[in-house]
Amino acid sequence: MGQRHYQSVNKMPAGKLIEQLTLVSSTRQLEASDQIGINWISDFLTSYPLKRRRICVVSPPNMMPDQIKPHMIAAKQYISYYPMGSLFISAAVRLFNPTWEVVVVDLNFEAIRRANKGQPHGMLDLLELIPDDCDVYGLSWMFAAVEQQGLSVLERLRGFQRPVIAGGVQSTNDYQQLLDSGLVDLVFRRESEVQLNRLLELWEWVDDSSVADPAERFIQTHGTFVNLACKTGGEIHCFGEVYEKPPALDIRKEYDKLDITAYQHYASPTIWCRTAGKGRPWATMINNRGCRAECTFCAVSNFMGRGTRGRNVADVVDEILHLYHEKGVRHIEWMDDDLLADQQHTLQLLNTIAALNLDLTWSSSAYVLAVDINQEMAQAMVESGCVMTGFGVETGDPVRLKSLRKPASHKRIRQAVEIFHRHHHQVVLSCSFILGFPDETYGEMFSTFDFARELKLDWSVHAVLQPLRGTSIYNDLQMVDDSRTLESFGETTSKAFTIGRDLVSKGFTFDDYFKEIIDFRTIDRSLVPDRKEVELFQVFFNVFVNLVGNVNLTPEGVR
Amino acid sequence: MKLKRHTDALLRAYPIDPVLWAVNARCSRLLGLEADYEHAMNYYRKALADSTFWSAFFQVYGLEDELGLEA
Repeated sequence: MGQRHYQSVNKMPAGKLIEQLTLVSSTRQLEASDQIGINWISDFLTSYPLKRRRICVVSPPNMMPDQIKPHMIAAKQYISYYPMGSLFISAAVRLFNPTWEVVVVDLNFEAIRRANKGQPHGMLDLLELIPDDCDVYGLSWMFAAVEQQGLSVLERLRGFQRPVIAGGVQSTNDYQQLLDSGLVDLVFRRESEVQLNRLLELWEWVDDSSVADPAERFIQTHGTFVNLACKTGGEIHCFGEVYEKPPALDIRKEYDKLDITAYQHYASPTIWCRTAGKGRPWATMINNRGCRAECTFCAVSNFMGRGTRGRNVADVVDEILHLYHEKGVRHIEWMDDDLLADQQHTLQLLNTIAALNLDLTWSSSAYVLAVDINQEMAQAMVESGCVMTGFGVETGDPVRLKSLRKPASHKRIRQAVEIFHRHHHQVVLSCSFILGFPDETYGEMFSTFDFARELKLDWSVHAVLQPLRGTSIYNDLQMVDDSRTLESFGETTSKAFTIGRDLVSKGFTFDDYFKEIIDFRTIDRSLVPDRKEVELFQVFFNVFVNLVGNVNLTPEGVR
Repeated sequence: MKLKRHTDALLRAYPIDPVLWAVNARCSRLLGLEADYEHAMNYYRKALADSTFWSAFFQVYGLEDELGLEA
């Protein structure tokens, strides 16, 4: 499986890379409606003469900024990771249109930084940080949970009287609502490196009085746009959908756009950076893009297409060395959805990192597929600095697991866990579990509970299912009017994956929320719990799997 | 030590959670860190007394016995 869906991207000169990327979508035939769309975009851009050739890409806060608690910042409990999507956009623009500059504004990080400094950090205060001299403004919108914040950002961007664009996973799913809102002019669906640069190219021709017919020149040069959506004459026009699968570019120069020292100081991307990699300056990195799996609850394959695209080993190592020597980074948090996608490539990468003999650790809190773990792989992971890893399990119920279309089996998960327990017990091992699947009974949830205990993990990450728009499980739930799919666009409320974190982030406690305790040991396991009962079961799961029942409290545990 | 470190980190954000304090205390005792044990137990008792939810939860599930905690 690993080989079949894997495309290696060789290290190649920029010109070659452009040629490769250009070929990907130029094979698309121009449709009649596309001509209308291109003409509309060309006319639209005519209204905006170029000024400074600056693109401002804004990431919204992950939480309502005025709810940030100083003691949570002191504990580095807020999640902050480098705005990788914006950095890749910046690298692509630098490569394709070097006269343009991308300004990266990470309002999630700025909210945490300003709150820590005691500076005003409400949404309106944060919006003041967006520069007002850019040619075009973009929202990098990844999660529905930040819908309110995203819309606040868009209202501000609209006020600059310049083109507003949006991209990212959630923009891809909600493109119609975004266009109908009037806050966005163009939505880039799926990965947008190539199409954004095509837009800039068209804009240059529009702005150049010597080009008689920019739209026609665009068509002659590129054929058409793909994955772009706009509103022409009151109707939404979508250009054809293609998985362009651009490779991850070299973003070493882009790291200069971030105050990396400050990121270390105020937050971390995961708890593992604060515990397993304690005190070590961290960075987030990407080795592979995409995922071989097509799990029903996950939006990755819908956004990027199935399969992974790996970077050349030398490129990844160059980036590590840059972060290590130039930025002082000592811990890498891999953001890959499928880090070990190709055995040969991964072993080469890990062995190369190990041979560098750096004082470097890494963790993979996005987990890896258990099916990729054998003794050789585990050994290479540890020797290259792995201090934390784990596997997505999701459920202990075999029938449910099969329905999720996850390339995993309980047998392979047991084997992978056993390899680490037997040979690498110093590595923090964690797996992820989901509770509250559609029609899930207490019996199924207890299967998950029992399996998590059987694995004797250092920690079991658990979440109540939050169906993401654009996933097949969301569509299934929508068909039965599940309440989790009934929130309208603009009304989606932020909710953390655990009830404890959600309540604390909103200033509440369990005393405010739960009015009774259920003794789950005596519950009728054929019953299907309601939402609040699932949340209480999650508390029970946490107490008896992670805390009271943790293997590290027994003689089997590792001190 | 893995669990001690993890609960240490979590408690900085959730200092009102008596289960975290109780497990942190148990880790400390197993590791022979008596000062840490006393510290965690003090916070555990206070957090438990302050929460009707957790008081009921501990009672229903007999957590003090489960963890071998001193009253």
